[in-house]
Amino acid sequence: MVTLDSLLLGFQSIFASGLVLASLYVLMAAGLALVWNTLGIFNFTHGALMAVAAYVAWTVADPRGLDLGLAVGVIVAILVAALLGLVINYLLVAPFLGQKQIVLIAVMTTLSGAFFIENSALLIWGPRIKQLDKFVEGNVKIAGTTISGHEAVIIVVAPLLMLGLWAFLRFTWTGSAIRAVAQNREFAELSGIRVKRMYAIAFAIAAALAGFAGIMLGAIRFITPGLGGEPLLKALIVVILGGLGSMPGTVLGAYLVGFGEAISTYFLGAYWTQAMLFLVFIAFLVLRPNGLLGKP
Amino acid sequence: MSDAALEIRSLHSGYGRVPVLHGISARIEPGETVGLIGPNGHGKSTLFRTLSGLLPAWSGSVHFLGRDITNKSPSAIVESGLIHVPQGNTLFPDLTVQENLWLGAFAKGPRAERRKTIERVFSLFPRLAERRGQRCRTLSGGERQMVAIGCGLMGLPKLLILDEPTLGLSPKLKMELRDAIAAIIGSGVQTIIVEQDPEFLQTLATRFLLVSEGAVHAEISGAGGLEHQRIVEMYFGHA
Repeated sequence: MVTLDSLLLGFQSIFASGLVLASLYVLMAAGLALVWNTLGIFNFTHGALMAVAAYVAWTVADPRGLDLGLAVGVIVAILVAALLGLVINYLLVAPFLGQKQIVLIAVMTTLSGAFFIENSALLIWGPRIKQLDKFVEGNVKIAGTTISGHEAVIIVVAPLLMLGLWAFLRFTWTGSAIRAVAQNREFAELSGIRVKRMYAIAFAIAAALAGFAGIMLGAIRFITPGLGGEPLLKALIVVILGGLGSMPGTVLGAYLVGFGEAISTYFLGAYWTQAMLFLVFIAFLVLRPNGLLGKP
Repeated sequence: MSDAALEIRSLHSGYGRVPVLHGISARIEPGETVGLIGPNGHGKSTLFRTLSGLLPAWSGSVHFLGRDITNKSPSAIVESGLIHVPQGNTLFPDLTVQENLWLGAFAKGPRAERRKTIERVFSLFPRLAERRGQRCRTLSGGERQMVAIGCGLMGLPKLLILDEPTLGLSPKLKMELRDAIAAIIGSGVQTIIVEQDPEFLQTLATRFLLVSEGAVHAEISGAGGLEHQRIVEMYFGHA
């Protein structure tokens, strides 16, 4: 018997878990979208960057590592991710920019880069699984459902970070230049914008965002070299569903996928949810090949 | 001999392995306004893409105000004051008119002056002031051309290159743009204008170069203006 009460309870838990998932997806997808929008490539090292950042944060923060506290760990890990992003851009992406087959080339180079980074992580940190401390202890009640304080942090921080990214792209010289480079590389050059530098900055910011997502994940899931694998796939879906080239589309896509997954998990169970997700995704792309807010 | 504004010495360049410029040479003195004419596909745009650093020079050299700018980066060339306004609809389509203009002043020097410069651009093209909040993709062809020239001016050019500013515009808009370009030249900005239509240049330029088959084919100078006959001769060899 479905009573009003149980239905309400269902909606409450869907809302809470949907919000947590969606916020995570926002964090995971933002950097991927930034790189696509600016450089016109998919960066498949995005997931590996998540894992490395989580490992670095753990090494710096954990008592078995450097024991410098979580805050220091987070900052160091984000910086390392950004630096690694610069290196990846310099070695695996920048040399091929401007070539006709750049999308495919970048898939191959960044995919091999991802394998390299993930296996290096395995060599450095070993197979023993690790986990980061939660950012905050305790629980928070939202809309009648209890979630962990850490998840609450994610829910709050994800939109704030997006707001920050939007403000950066909208109101700063560097941000405007990054958008300009994305829209017309040649005119950007003729305006005196250092295009390669803008690419590098965009890549580093994206890597830092991946790093942050990885750190957030590292306190919920166990840290393994493959930590970012499934999130990368989700981020790809989010970015494509939201529409390539549209940052608002990516955010919208993240919330849609997050809530869709929560609804599907509630009614169909976790087992069928992934299959459902891809089914809906493919069906949607048949109807709207450019995604929600993408440009043709 | 004093430094030329722009001195191009036997410049070779092209796309990939296909040569387009076959040793082009030209010297442009300070203060003169040069009109460049010549048939399509004979290297006019390639010349400017090479001058502004978008294409590498294979051989030869470019000196701007006495400084060697051969194969410098586009941003370094823009910062030195050589600004190339490309042809066609090449703006940042999803940025507003004002954002496009701001980015024209991206280099440090022009950036500090941008508020003053944008007022000048707006007084030159009042229509841009009206449309400053509009995305460039929603503008008409003439308005886009105004934005493109405005962006060039925002970079405080010492030498402004306008690549076919009236391409595809109506005669009425052409006249409007000609007046604006005359005003720019009058304000002391040295300008090189490329045009398909020599008549457009008649009142603007003091010297004409005909670029054909990747080299300067002929040259007409003199204050007497340009006779139609001479242009026909330049295009067709003889009339």
